[in-house]
Amino acid sequence: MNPNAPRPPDPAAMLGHALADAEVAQPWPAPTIAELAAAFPELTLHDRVGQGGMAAVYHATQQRLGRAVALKVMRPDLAKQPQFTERFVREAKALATLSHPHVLAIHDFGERAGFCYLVTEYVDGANLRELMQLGRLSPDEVLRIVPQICAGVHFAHQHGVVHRDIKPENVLVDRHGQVKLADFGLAKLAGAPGPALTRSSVVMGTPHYMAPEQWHGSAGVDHRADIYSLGVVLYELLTGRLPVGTYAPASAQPGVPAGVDPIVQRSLQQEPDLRYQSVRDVQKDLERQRGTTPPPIPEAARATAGPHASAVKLLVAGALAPVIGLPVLTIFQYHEHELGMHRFSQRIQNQNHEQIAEQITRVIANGKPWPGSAPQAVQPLPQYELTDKLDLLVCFVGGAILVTVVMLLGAAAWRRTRHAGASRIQQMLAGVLFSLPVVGSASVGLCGIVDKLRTEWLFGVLGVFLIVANGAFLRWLWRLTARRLPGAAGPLGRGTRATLWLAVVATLGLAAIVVFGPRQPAPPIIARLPIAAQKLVGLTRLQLLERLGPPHAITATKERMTWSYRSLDGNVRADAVQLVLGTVVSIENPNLILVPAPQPESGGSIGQTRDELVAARGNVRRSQGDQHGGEIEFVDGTIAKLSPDGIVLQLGK
Amino acid sequence: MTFQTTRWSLILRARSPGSAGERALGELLGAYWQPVYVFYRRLGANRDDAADLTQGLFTDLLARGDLADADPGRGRFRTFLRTCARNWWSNERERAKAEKRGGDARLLPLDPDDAEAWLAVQPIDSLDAEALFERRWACTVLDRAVWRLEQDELAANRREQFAVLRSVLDGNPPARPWANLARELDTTEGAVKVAAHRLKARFRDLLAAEVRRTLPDEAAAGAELQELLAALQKRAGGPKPGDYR
Repeated sequence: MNPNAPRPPDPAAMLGHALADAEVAQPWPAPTIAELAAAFPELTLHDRVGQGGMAAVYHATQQRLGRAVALKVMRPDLAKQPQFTERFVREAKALATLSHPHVLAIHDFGERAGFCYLVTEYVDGANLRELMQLGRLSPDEVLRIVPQICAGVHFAHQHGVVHRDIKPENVLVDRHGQVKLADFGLAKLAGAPGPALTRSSVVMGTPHYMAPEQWHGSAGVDHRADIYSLGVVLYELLTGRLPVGTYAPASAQPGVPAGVDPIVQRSLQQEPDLRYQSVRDVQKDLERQRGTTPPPIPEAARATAGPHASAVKLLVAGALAPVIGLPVLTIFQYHEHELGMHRFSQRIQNQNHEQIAEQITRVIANGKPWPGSAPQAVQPLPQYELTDKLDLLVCFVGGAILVTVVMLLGAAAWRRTRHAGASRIQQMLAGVLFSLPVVGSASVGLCGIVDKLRTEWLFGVLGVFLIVANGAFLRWLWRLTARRLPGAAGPLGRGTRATLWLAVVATLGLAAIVVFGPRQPAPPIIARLPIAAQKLVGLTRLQLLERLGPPHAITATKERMTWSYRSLDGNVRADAVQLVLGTVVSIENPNLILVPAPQPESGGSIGQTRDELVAARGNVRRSQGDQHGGEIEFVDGTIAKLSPDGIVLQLGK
Repeated sequence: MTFQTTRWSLILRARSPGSAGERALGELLGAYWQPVYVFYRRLGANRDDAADLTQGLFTDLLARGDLADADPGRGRFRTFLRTCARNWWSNERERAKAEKRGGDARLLPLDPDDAEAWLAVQPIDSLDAEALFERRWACTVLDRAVWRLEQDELAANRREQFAVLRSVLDGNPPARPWANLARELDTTEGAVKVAAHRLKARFRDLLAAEVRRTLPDEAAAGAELQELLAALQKRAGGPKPGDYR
């Protein structure tokens, strides 16, 4: 007794799903099985299988023949109105004349105990609407099903019957995939004189599937209205959407051959004369397309759809990126050139200075003059070139990531909008819109980080901010589009999300390399070498001695000293540096390179104070003049001449 | 494809002891013993005691003959059984304990293994005994509907198709694309989808039919199913075991 079935993984989901699918409340009370059983004693009634606006359908068995039948019972209150009974009887008549494998067969009809009824063959299956609810049919299957409908409709047309209400609900499919066209409820007997009700501007049919001429209730509705409805059904089956407004071509759906588009278009012409004139032609054209549907995606490939497929796409995009990334690389280079020039020139200058300084040191050590003309302190800036490997790497990888993300985002936007049924232009627009903020933020933001963070942190912060702000903008744009195109609603795909994260991580990593990566050390030698005279202004006497060493000679007036130095070319510059109150106030020529005097006879004492000199030599024999100026004679006979403020001017025997 | 005719409504109407009504009640109890069993387990009975209590309760119910007098409110079979189970626990437990070793003939071949396996994966701490009873009841209804569906499909020689399409009952799309399923089953995509649709429709019917068996009034199947869904979705709360209202 105990059912030993394996338990469903989630009973709540199972029961919830079953209840969600349950029929919604019906607009009118259908007759109960008991009521009908009394009226139809020859039938064994099982259950109600459907209910529409005008009729209810029951599953029954004809006892005498033991065959399954469907009993269609008109809504009782409508059945009391004469024109409805008339229409019902007409449906029965229309159906009764038709015997075709793709038309629902009628066994009996009439009126009994106040019930207008119709006994038809029972189809153990589902209608197209119900099949669509399980997911869109593959294009191949649509091209198998619709020609069957066409065959049934064509057969009816040949017998003067126009269906006038072709829609997915009226197309039944049995367990073998066979199609049966049902519900010729609105069919008109073309040969018979038009009954009053069709001319009374009563609009009959289901709005979305009705041909324009049916909308107007015009009396001239003929079999070409069915062709229009067929076109709508065909389009809806292929795309899952109704062809309203400027609808996207059906071939925008994956797997739908482009040859289907003209068939849809021609069926949906507003003017009946411009449509197909025979359903047979529609059928033939569709059957011709059938052979051309691309083979379904193999299972193996299908099974990997999702993250794996995204990874493959990412790899492909990554491989393509360097090629397509070249223009982007150029943009990076341009930015480097503009923003990074300062940094680069500084570095190269420093390199030059070091070389010069080395040479100067050598010259000074040899005590020989500088060969040729004096080097310029400020070299002309070298032409910009990408020599720094790290910068090259950053530019290239950055460009590759940028292009990858842009491509993937664009593709995602394209896919989404295509599923939403957007036109090709809308798709392109969406692709560009989604990728633009990334291009903008990445190029500006990343360059900001690359070029500026080392020197000006504010620009780096600005770059980060730009990226974040544009990310937020992108998200907003995405949602906006989703609202405008309801079919595109829903979160980002897993693959796209993963890609975005990857890009964020890669960008941050790149920024980290730039910020924390190896740097060019500042050249300390520059500060210590006697390079340019222009750098001397403002120095004190001691600093000057430290920087350039003792001068060649000093001439002093009361308030001013003039120190002479040799320049690099060997000439003695008598008024190279002027000091007032112990500080350098002016120089002779800012572009001169000054070098210390050779060490010899003066012993490097010129420029020292009296106290320093005494401390260095000792043994003063005689001191003349006041405390500061005058002369000092040492024991060894050396005589030092001092300036009024006590600086050694000359030293000699 | 045959429906069992055992119905709670018929049992309520059957007045004579030892009649078809009694046999029908036996069948219903046999189908829904697990909720009672897990109810007692949740109240603290061990495996053997819970089985004995269930057997004792069922023996008592069947021996009573005329349920109409005994049943509280002639309600649904589910609430009836739950109330009886609770009363049995409160009133008869001591006596039953004293008598149970007497070696009464077992009315039903209860196999607690299934029920124990089910219990093992339930959030027992957050559910009181009544809630657990309801939950198991809902699962039993589902199990029975699935089981019947499977029997139907096997009888119609569609074993393979049922195995493939079973997941649609949960509302999940099948694991593989429809077109591939069609190729596997050597039919068309439309036919596979028709089969899936019919399977779902049939499952709904069987669920409703199963639930109707337990109702005094067959029209209320929808409301009963909603209550069962609520019982399944219930996660926590409710009175603690012992403070029975």
